Order: sequence, then C-alpha cells, then structure tokens
Amino acid sequence: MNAPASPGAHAGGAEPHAAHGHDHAGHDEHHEPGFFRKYIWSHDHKMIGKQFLITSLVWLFVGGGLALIVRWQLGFPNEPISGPLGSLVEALWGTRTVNGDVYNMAFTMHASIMIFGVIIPMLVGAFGNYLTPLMIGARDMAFPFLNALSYWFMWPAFLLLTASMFIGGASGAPASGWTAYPPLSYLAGQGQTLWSLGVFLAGASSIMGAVNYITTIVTMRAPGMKFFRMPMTVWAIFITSILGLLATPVIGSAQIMLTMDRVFGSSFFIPKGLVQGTDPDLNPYQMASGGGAVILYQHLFWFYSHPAVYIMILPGMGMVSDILATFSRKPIFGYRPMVYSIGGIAGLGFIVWGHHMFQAGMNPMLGMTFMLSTMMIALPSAIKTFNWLATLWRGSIQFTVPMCYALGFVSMFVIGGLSGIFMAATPVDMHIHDTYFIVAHIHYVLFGGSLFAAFAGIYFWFPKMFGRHMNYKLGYLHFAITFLAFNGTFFVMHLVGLGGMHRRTQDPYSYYPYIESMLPENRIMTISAIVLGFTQLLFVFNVVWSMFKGEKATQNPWNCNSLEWTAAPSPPPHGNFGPVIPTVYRGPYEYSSPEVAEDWLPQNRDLAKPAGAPAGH
Amino acid sequence: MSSRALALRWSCAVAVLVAAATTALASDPWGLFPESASLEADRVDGLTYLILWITGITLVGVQVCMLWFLWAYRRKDGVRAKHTHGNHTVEMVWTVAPAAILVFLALYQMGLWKDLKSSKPGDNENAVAVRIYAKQFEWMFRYPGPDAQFDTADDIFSNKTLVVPVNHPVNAELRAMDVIHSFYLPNMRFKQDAVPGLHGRIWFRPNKLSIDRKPLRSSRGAEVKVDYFDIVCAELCGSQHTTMAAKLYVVSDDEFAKWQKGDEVTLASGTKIPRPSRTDALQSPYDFIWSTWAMQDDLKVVAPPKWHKGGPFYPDYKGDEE
Ligand code: HEM
Ligand SMILES: [Cu+2]
Ligand SMILES: [Cu+2]
Repeated sequence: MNAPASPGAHAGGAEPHAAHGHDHAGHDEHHEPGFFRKYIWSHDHKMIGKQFLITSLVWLFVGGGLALIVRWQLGFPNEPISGPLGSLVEALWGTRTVNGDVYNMAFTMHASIMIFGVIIPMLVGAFGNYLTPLMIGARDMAFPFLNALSYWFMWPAFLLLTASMFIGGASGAPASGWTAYPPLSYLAGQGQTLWSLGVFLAGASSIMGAVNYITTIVTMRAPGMKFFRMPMTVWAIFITSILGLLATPVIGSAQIMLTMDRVFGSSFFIPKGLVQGTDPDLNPYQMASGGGAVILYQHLFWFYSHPAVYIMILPGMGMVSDILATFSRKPIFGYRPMVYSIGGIAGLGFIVWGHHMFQAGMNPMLGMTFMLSTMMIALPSAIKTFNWLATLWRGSIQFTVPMCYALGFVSMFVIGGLSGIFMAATPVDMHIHDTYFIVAHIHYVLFGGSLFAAFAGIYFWFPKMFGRHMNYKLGYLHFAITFLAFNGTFFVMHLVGLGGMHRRTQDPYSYYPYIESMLPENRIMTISAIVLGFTQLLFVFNVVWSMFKGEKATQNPWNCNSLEWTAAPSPPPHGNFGPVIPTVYRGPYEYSSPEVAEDWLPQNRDLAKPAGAPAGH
Repeated sequence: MSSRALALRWSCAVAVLVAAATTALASDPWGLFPESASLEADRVDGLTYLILWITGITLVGVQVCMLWFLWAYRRKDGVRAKHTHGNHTVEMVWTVAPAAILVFLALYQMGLWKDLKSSKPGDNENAVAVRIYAKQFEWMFRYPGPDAQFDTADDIFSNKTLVVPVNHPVNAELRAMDVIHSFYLPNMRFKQDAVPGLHGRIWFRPNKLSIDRKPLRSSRGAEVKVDYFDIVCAELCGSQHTTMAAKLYVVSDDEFAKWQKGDEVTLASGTKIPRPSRTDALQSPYDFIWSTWAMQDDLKVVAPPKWHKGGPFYPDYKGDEE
C-alpha cells in the first residue's frame, strides 16, 4: 500500500504536553478502567462506536442468511435447501423446503434486520459515534451516559427481533414485511408484537443518539471549527440526526398503536366489518370492533420510513465525499452546494412519504402532489453526483481500497437514484409498484449505496480505529467480487420487475405462467447472491485478522486533513487529543493547496508558525 | 480530436438514432413489459420509454465520464491535482438542467395519471360494471345481473374468473374483506390496492381478446399457450399470498352476453369458462356476507385476532370451537 509514513510533527499530532495543560487537565488523570467499564459499559464514544460496528457486522450475516433463504426459493423453487444453510433452517423451523410461512418470515426479518439492525446502527451508530467527536475536535460526546444507553437499548431490540422469529414457529413469526401493514400484521402471530416492540426500542436508541449528535456538534466544536469548516461526514451526521429526531417518534407511535390494536383491541387501524379466516364454517364472522383506518398506519409508517431511507444514505454520502476528496488530492467540488443539497434532501424528505402509497387508495390528487415533491428530491442527489464527478476531475487519483468502494458507491447510487424517477412517475409506478423493480431500487441505494459507503468507511478509518491496516490485497479481491456479484444479483431485478414479477411472493412460478418464464433470470440472481454472501466472509476474516495481526498504522497514513488524522494518534486515547484541544484554521479539504509544498494541509496547522513547530495553539 | 475518437462518437450517435427510431415504431420495442392489452398500457409504456431514454442517457453519461476521469486523472508522478473549490457557472448549469427535466417529467405525466385514476368512464361509454372482492386468498367478482343494480337477487357471482367484453371499459368497485390485497393486471399495467374499509373505484379498457394473447415461453424454452390475462395479488396478504391468482377472460360481446346468462362459453382454445352462479344458489356463510355486504354494519360479533381467543380483553367473546 502506498501509505507514506506520517510526518506527524507539523500536523500537530505529536503535541507536547507542556502548554495549556489547564485545558481539560482532568482527562490525563483517568486511571485505566476495568474490563467491564472499558469494553461493555463504556462511556467512551470510540468504544461505543466500535460496539455498534461489531454488532451490526454480526447482524449483517444474520440478515444475509435470511436473504439467501429467500433467494434459494426463487432460484430453486420448492427444492430443499442444500448445504449447512439447509441444515440450519431445518433445525430452526423444521423444514428444508421454503414454504409460505418460512418465506414470508425470511424476507420480513431480512429487511427488518438489515434496516433497523445493520444499516442504521452501522452508519449512524458506529461511524457517527466514532467520528463525530474526533472530527470536530471534541473529547467525547455531549452525553456519554446517554450514548452508552443508546447502544444498550439496541440489545433488547435485537433479542426481541430474534425471539420473534421463533416464538410461534414459522407460522407465528413476523411475516407482514418490514412495513408490517395492518390488518395483516394485526392478525399475525405473537412474533409480530415482539417485532413492534423491538422496532420501538431500536427507534428509542436512534433518538438518544440523535439528541447526542446534535448537541455535540452544536456545542462542542473545537476553536475555529466553524460550521462551514466541518467535514461532510459531520454535516451528514448532523442533518441525519435532525431527521432522526423528528421522524423516529412517529414510527414509535405507529408501533405502539399497532400493539394496542393487537393486544387491547383498540382499533386504531382496523375498520369495521373485517371478515377473517380461511375456513368459513369454522370462523364465519370474525369482526373487529372497528372505527380505525388502515391507511393511517401507512402514513405514519412512511412519515418515518421515507426520512429513514435518507438516514441510511446521508452518512454514507458524507463519508464518500471525504474519501473522494482525500484520494483525489483535491478539495471537494462545491462544498457549500454539497451541504445545501444534504439540507435539501432532508427538507424535501419530509414531504415525499406518499410516494410509497400511490396505489394504496390515497386520493389521486394527493398522489400528484407527492409525485411532484418526489421528482424534486432527485435534484439534490443529482447535484451531489455531479459534484463528486467534478471532484475527480483533474485530481490525482489513488485507487486505494476505500477509494474503490467510494467510486463504487457513486456509480451504484446513480443507478438507484435514476430508478427512483421511474417510480416517482405515478403512472409508471402503477405497473412497477410492489414488483422486483422496487427491490432493485432498494438494493442499489442501500447495498450499492449505504453498504458500499460503510465498507469504504471501514477500510478508510480502520487504521484509526484499531491502529492497524486491513489487508488491502484481500480488500481489492473483496471489492471486485462484491461489485460484480452485486450487479449480477440486483441489476436483473429491474428487468423481471418491468416484466411484472411481483415481490414478496413465495412460488410465483406455479401460479403465473408469465413469471415461470423468468426462472432462468432468477436462478442467475440466486447464484450471484450466494457468491455475494460468501464473499463477505472474506471481509469479516480481514477485519478480525487485521485487528490483531494487521500492519501497524501511523497516525495519518492517508495524508488526510481532518482532525481525527492530524491531531489524534492511531488509535486515539481516552479523551482523544492529549492535553490541548486542537485549533482549526481552515476547512478540511485543502488538498494540493498552493500555500504549501505537500499536497495536503491539515485543518489545525497554523501557517503563521514555521513548519515543524507545534500546531494548534 | 483524434480520428478514432471521432469515429467512436459518430458510431455512438448513429446507434442512438437507430435505437430511437425503433422505439418510435413499436410501443415496447425491447420487450420489457408483458404483452400490452389495454389502451392505458400503451400510454404507460410510452412514458416508461421516455423516462428510460432520459435516465439511460444520464446514466451512460455519468458512468462514462467517471471512467474517463479515473483514467485520465490517475495519480502520476509529478502531476499535482488542480486546487479548485468549485465553479459557480457549471454548478448553476447542472442544477438548472436536471431541475428543468424533472419538472417537465412531472408535468408531462399528470394527464395520464388523471386519466388512469381520476376520470372514470362516462355513461356513454358502455362500461361494464363489476364489483371485485378480495379475501385471503381468492378473488371474487360480482355482476349486477339483468336489472343493472347491485345487491339485488339477480346478481351473479364468479369465483377466481373475471370475464369482460373487449373494447368496453370495465368500471369496477374494489373491496377487501380481511387484509390489504392489490389488484394487479400486468398486461394492462394496472394496479390498485384493495383496502379494507375503502371502496375503490377503478377502471381499465381492455382492447385485446385474451384468446389472442401471444404464446409465452416456459423456463425451458417451450411455447406455452395461455388464453387468459393474469390477475395477480400484488400486496403481501398472508402465508398463501402467492396462490392468490385469478384469470381475466376478455371475450367478444356475444360470448360475454352468453356467459352472463349462465350458458357455457367455450373459447377457440377449447377452454370452457367456468359458469357464474346466482346469489340464491350461494350457500356458505361467506357468500352470505358478500351478498349482504350492505348490511354488515348490523353484525355485532366482535372477535379478537385468532391467536388471542378467550383472552382477558374480550370477556363476552365465547370463542369459536377449534
Ligand atoms: C433519487 C431519489 C429517490 C427517488 C426519486 C426515490 C423514489 C422512490 C419511490 C417513488 C419509491 C416507492 C416505490 C413503490 O413502492 O412503488 C421508493 C421506494 C424505496 N426507496 Fe427510494 N427514491 C430515491 C432515493 C432513495 C434512497 C437514497 C434510498 C435509501 C437509501 C431509497 C430507499 C427506498 C426504499 C427502501 C424503498 C422501498 C420501500 C419498500 O416498499 O419496502 N430511495 N423510492
Ligand atoms: Cu421514499
Ligand atoms: Cu392477496
């Protein structure tokens, strides 16, 4: 790897402990905490970030395994699952063939786990926690105790989601999709209640995190760290937190109302006159007490879940912006427009939720309004894409592993953003809503987008987090296979979606001859998905191995400008910065600046002082 | 510019023109959709292709541009990156241009959306009235019968089979009895959720006899002759959701009249369309509810979800025997 050793001195990294010792002096006197306080009930934002990271990586595999159950059934319909996955499924749910119950459970839990247990905790919980204080020059988050709580609230959520899969066997598990629309979710087995409570707790965790990020960013920036000198990652976390703070309570309410309907018969969402039961002789008139509105749930759900898709992508956009600038050795093109477009996405993000409900029985006039706002939300995404491209233009591009993933992000996000335009067009959406086209869109933005960004971020900040490099040969291999297998799996979904193959359907081939003809495509997707899944083992091996055996990293291996690299060792100690908080003199993107000979210029380097002198004050 | 680059550029332009010309000739030149069978379908396809062109050109432009930059500006010894923070003019251009395209797309499609969902067939259009019921896991269709009034004794019922005459608008009311379903006709590009508690007004204009449907290909490549259009439940509705299929026969006026009278209709393919039944022939409690849907508000039975039978919150509910 072309990672030059850090000439840390003039970057202010090797800060002498002499001057200004009064500033946060207390921090140096911390004695080493015990195992429990250090690794479990830690209040240090870095440890909490790592906890989020490791947990969400574990859940990535649970979610991935569930996805493979779904793909298996679609590629090899009604054949028993082979291999260890098959044995596992048999041990857990008593069947090797994927019947309707197992299938519905699998895609429901796949999406729920990936969204609530992987992408949000990883992008916001892990990177937000780890990077925010380091990047703005704070010693920790504003509320360290709340921070620890926000991590530990995820555990009951995880346990509830896990329990929900087993409590009533396959037929009692949540099987109403990650959207959990009533009345289906109202009529579902006990697992659904656990699911709702799990989602509620995950939401509570998000809210605690959001409060913390907002307070930290507003009040704890280092001297000189003006808002418009913050790295894009911090901007993204900041705006994401505002979204999370305003939107998450709404899904919390929706889940509580649903649970009340299920447990206490409150009928928020259940209209009068429901008739349920497949055997008319046994159960002729099962009627709910009534008075509720089915669509109300959808409004509440999407009022959160549309902003949530931006919660899942904005931090990725921020990290990718930083990584692209670093490895192009160029300032990010149009810093302010980039910030404003994140703001624009967030603002518009609150008035587009109805695009998930175009065909749900909403007034078509209202649909038109949502169509207009949805079309407009593609604009900030377009602006960002052009700015990323222009950042590459006349750069000096280094193809490191994180850079490859960042470029992959841009390339894949464009596909996901453009497919959004098809769905935003209400008449086209009438055909492709609830088909595999939507599934393709979701995965281009969430896998090709969010997860690629997370991979980029892990390869990029790993040296900071653990003081060691990951293995980059394995990294390139991981990227190459992931990129190809990802497209092999998900691109084809656009085509079968346009062809009318609907989603969430266990055995369409037996019931719809026009879908039977798409079996070969589905088989290709399944095989790619299996490759994609197993390739991730490479990544996990790399992470675990590098934590202990990786090449030791210097303070600033990528010659980056922002404070986590220029002012804190790898890994940073408790309190992050030694006795003195660094002072910030400029924005984070002064790469290849004519002011200095090197092609980077740390945020905390005081040009008034001769190079080599201690920086920062 | 080098001659090779020029040649490349010209051949690209020619390829684009050829592709554009083929697009203009057929409504689905690349065979992306299921065979079209309604007036609306062709318009939806046209809009989709327009968006496909716009997004496709953008996509190729962005990806090619990116690859070009990656190649041209890869790290070279002694070459320093350009120090620039942006350029107001180009940023204005790439903000205004996509904004204009997006606003154009938004306005352009409004007419079609209005026709699809807010202007139901007029009285002079000879529409066929039908009421569609969705329940786990089947579709049921109710016709008003000779008196043209719903909820009267001469209504006729048909299970899992919808029969309509060609070139007449179908004017339907969509109801769900238990959970949300979605009435999806891939060949008509039509979709509308059936929502408990709501009575959806929907319509579509079939313009092709289902017997004329082009043969499908099976996954093994064999030709499969299908003489109906698919009715799909597109919204997850329970463990047997995947089985919730029904058949749409688009037939001639004569055949439709015969079928409604209860006579047997045999299609040229040899298929006998299942005959509808009369209300008074319906026996099961379900059918009773359907035929008295208007009265359902009087039914006082209040029951908890199935798994909750006899729980503490429903003291009066005796539970059903199981
Ligand atoms: C360019 C901007 C985007 C536009 C115009 C757009 C548009 C849409 C529309 C109209 C739908 C509803 C489709 C339907 O169900 O019929 C949708 C679904 C979805 N979008 Fe996007 N989208 C955009 C970006 C994103 C991003 C950035 C993410 C996530 C990171 C995302 C995640 C999703 C998800 C998860 C769904 C499906 C939810 C479900 O039904 O399960 N979208 N999008
Ligand atoms: Cu959305
Ligand atoms: Cu259904």
